[in-house]
Amino acid sequence: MLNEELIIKNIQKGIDVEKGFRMLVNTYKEKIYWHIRGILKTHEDAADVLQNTFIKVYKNIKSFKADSKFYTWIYRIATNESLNHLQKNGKYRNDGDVIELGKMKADHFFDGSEAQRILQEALDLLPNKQRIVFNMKYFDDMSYKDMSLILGTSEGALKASFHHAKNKIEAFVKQHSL
Amino acid sequence: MINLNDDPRKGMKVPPGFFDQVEDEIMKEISVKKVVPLRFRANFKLIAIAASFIILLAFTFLISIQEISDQNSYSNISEDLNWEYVLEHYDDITYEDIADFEEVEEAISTFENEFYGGLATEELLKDVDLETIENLYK
Repeated sequence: MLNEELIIKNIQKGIDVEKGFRMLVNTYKEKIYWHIRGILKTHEDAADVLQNTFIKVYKNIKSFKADSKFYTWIYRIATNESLNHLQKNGKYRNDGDVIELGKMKADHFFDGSEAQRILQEALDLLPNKQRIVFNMKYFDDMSYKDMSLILGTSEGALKASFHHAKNKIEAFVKQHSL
Repeated sequence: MINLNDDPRKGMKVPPGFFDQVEDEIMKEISVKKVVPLRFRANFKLIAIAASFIILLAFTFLISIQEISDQNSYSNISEDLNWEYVLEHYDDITYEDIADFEEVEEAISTFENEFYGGLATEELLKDVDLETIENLYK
């Protein structure tokens, strides 16, 4: 099987474009979907943004420079697309905005455990960027360096964001655990 | 504290078969939109300018070929047609154009003889005594 770097180089040269791009979609579709879903919550929104993300990747793949990692590039596009989607639909949440709790209970696309539900509600309390930072660091185990490239934020600011997010989540979980 | 297995995103449901279908849907969407790769779009202006320049050059070349063809056409056609051609293009045609056309040469020669012959007759008339001429008809 061709490695990712070669696939991208071939696409950029116009060789086996469809076949190569299908391989990239296949590699990243689930990871990117869950990253988007963590930001947007509903499946319908996540599916739309996933599609837009890959279309954008396809349109701009020739401008992708081989000296950076492809996965950080695609995550960055997915993150921006997700945040743009929230803003377009008036769902973007800054720090301090009031949110509606208990929404997950009513979501027919959520069938996680009680622990997952509490954690999701704790995450829902966070501003969008803090939640993204927490998910990427805690559940996706990304390095601050890669997160910095994806989110366009300094490593120091990301560490601070993660610290605040973790404290808020711990407090919420303690308060709501049985 | 928080267990990694408790990733709440994993508690969210996805419609059955979504990941199998989404790949085809994305590829279909890409082919429907006929997305033009960025580099091609960036070069499009340059290509358009180059193409316009080539068309302009080709057009100029065709016009010059046509002119040469018009000039050369005289010697390649029959004598009758040559005459028609001379009559139609009398303003444009040069002596060199018709140099190899024998009939014209003959015509010019005849014309010259008649013209100079006429001049010669006129010269003769100067030497002729008018009275002698008048007496001829009496």
